[in-house]
Amino acid sequence: MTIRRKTKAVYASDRELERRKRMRNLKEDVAASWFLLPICAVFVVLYAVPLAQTLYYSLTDWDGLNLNPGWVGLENYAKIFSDASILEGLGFTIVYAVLTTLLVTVIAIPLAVQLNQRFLGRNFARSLFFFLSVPSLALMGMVWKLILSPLQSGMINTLLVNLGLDTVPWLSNSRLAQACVIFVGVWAQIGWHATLYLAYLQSIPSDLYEQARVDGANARQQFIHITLPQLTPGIVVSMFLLMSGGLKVYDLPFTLTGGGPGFATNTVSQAIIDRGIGQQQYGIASALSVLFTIAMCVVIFAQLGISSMIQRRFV
Amino acid sequence: MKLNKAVRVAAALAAGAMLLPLAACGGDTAQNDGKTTLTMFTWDNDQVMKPYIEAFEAKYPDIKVDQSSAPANGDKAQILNTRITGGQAPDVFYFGNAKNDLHVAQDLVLDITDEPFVEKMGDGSRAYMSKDGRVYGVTSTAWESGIVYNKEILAKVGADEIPETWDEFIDLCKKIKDELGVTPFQEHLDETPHLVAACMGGHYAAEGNEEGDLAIINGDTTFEKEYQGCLTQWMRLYEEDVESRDSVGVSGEQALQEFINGNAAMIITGAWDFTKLNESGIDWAMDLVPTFEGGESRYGAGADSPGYAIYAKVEGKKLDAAKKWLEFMLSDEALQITADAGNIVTVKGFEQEIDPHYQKVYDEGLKLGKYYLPNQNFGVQSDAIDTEATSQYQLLVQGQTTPEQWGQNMDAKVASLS
Repeated sequence: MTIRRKTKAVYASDRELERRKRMRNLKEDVAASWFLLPICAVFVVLYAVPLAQTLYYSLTDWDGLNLNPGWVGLENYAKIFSDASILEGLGFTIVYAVLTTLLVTVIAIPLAVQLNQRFLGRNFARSLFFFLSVPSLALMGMVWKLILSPLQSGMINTLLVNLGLDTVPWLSNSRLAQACVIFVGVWAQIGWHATLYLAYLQSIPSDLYEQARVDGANARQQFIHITLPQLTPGIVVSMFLLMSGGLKVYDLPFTLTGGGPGFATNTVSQAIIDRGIGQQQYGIASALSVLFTIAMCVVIFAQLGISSMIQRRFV
Repeated sequence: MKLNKAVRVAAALAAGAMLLPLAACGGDTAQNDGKTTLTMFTWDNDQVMKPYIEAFEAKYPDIKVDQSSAPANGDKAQILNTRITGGQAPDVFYFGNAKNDLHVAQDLVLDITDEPFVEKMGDGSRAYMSKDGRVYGVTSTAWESGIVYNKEILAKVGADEIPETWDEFIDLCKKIKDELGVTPFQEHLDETPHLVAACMGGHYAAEGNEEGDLAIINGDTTFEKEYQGCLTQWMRLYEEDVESRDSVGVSGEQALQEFINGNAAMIITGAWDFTKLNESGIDWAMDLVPTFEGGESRYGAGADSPGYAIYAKVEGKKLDAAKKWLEFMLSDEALQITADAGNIVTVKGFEQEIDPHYQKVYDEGLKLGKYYLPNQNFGVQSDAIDTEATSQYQLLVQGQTTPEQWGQNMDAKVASLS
C-alpha cells in the first residue's frame, strides 16, 4: 500500500515536471513568436492586403481613379482569354521560362565542372563568367539591341557583310526576335548559375571520386554517377530560381524588342504593367495578376514536388 | 519574465524599424512663412522647371511652388492618379489632350473657359485643351515633324528638295537606291509611323472631318474604312522594295544614327534631333512631308504639347495662385524661356527666332495648323488603342497582315474596350 502511494507520488511528480516543461516551452514559443510579428506585419501590409485588393479589383472595371468602380464579375477574366496579345504573351512567357531554365542548366553544369578543374587563369575565367550576370537584364537588353540591330550597321550584321554574307533580320523577324530574347536571357544567366553549381561542386567529398577511380570509373561515369546526383540540391535551387524568374521576366524583352515585332516577345508581366500602369485598365491587369499568381503557385509547387522526388531518389 | 520583457522590447523596436519607412509615404505640404504653397506635378524634370519657377516666385513673392515630376514616358498617369485618389492631388498638373483625358471625364479638372488668359492660346492649342466647347488647360507649344534629307546625296540624283507628291517621293527613293545603293528612307516603327499620321491628317482635312479618329472611337466610322487609302499608299515603301521591312526592329535613335552615319538619305524627325544633326557635320535640310493622294496638301505628323490644368477641388488662395501660374506660363517672360529651350511657341502675338532648317515646316505646316497625330484623337482609351496600333503596324510591315486586316484588328480592339 505504501509502495503504491509512493509510486503514485512519483507519477504525479513526473506529470508535474512534464507539465512544467510544456509550460516553459510554450512561454519560450510565445516569446519567440514576438520576433515574427514584424515580418508578419510586413507580409500582411505589403502582400496579403494588396493581394486581396487585387482580387477585388479583378472583378471591377477600376480605372485607377474612380473610387467607386463598377462590379463586372468575371468579365475581365473572359477578356483575358479572348485577347490575342495577352495569349501570345502567355505563350512566349512559358517558352522563355522553360527554354532558359533547360538551356542554362544544361550549359551551366558542364561549365561549372570545367571551372572547378585546375588550369591557368582559373580565377580570371570564373570572374569573367560571373561578371555577365552583374549588369541588369535591362542594361543587357539595350546593349544587345545595338549588337542585334537588323540594319546593316548592326554589329553582327556588319561582321556578316564583311564576311560576304547576307544580313539577318535579328529583331525584325518574329521567330528570330524570340530566339534572340531567349539567347540573351541564357547568355546573361549562365555565369551566375555556374557559380552556384561551383559552390555545390566544391562541397562534394573528393574521396568519392578516389573510390570511383579505384573501381575503374572513367570521367563520364564519375560525372553521371557522382557529380550529377551530388549536385541535385543545387539543380533544384537553380531551376527554381530560373523558372520563377523566367515566368516573371519583363526587363529584357522590354528593352530588347519592346514586346515586338507585333506581340511576338510580349510577356505576361509586360501585359500586366501595360494594362495597369500604361493603359489604366486595372481591372484586366488585376485579373491577369490573379491568374498569373495562381499559375506561378501551381508551377512552383509542381517543380518543388518533382524536385523533392528526385532528391529522395539520389541523395 | 525579464527575458520576455527584453524580447518584447526588442521585437517592438524591430517592428517599428521595419514599419518606419512606410510612415514616410505620407507627406505634408504645409504653408511656410505665410506664403501660399502651390503644389505642382509635371513631366518635365526639376532642371527644366527651375527657370520658370524662379521667375514665377520672383514675380509673386507670396507664392511658393512645390514641384515634383515624373518622366513623360514612365508611369506618370499612375502617379497622378494615386495622388488624387490618396487625397494628395497637386493643385496644378501636366495635362494632355482634353478629349483623351480621364480626369476631364471624371470632373477632376477645373473648367477655365472664362479666364481671360485662355484667349492668348492659338486656335489649335485651344482646341487641344478643350472638350465639348469647354477649356480645361493651357499650352504654349506644338511640334511637327518633317523629312530630313542629306543634301549631298539628293544632289547626286538631281534633287534639291522633297517632292510634292507621294508618287514623286517613291520615284526619288527608287532613284537613290538604284543609282547610289544608299538606303533612301529610314523610318522607325516603335510608334505610329509619322508618314501615316501625316497622310491621315490630310485625309481628314480633305474630308472636312474635324474630329479625326475620334469619329471612329465614337462609332461613326471605322478604322477599316478610314485608313485603307493611307495604309495602301504608305505600304508602297515596302512592297516596292524602297525601304527594308527590317524597319520593324528599328528605334528612332537608330534611324537617326543611320542618317548621321550617311547610310540613309532621308529620315522623318522633328526639332528634338536638331542638336545631334547640327553636330553631325552632315549638310542637311528639312522639308514638308509629300502630299498623299486624296488628301489635303503637305500635312505633317504633329501635335500640341501638354500644358497645365488646375485640380477641380482647389479653392481659396491656392486657386488664385494656380490661375496665376497658368497665366504666367502664357506670359512673354515664360514664353521666352520656352523658346530659348528650343520649343516652338504657338501663343498668339509671340514671335520667336526659328532654326533656319525648320523655317519651311514652321511657316507652311505648324503655323497653319497642318499637322495631325492619330493617338491624340483616340479618346480616353488612347494608350490602349495606340499600343495596339503600333503592334499592328509592325505586323503589317512584316507582311503578316494586310491594310484591310489592320483596320479590322483595330476595330476589334476598339470594340473590346467598349
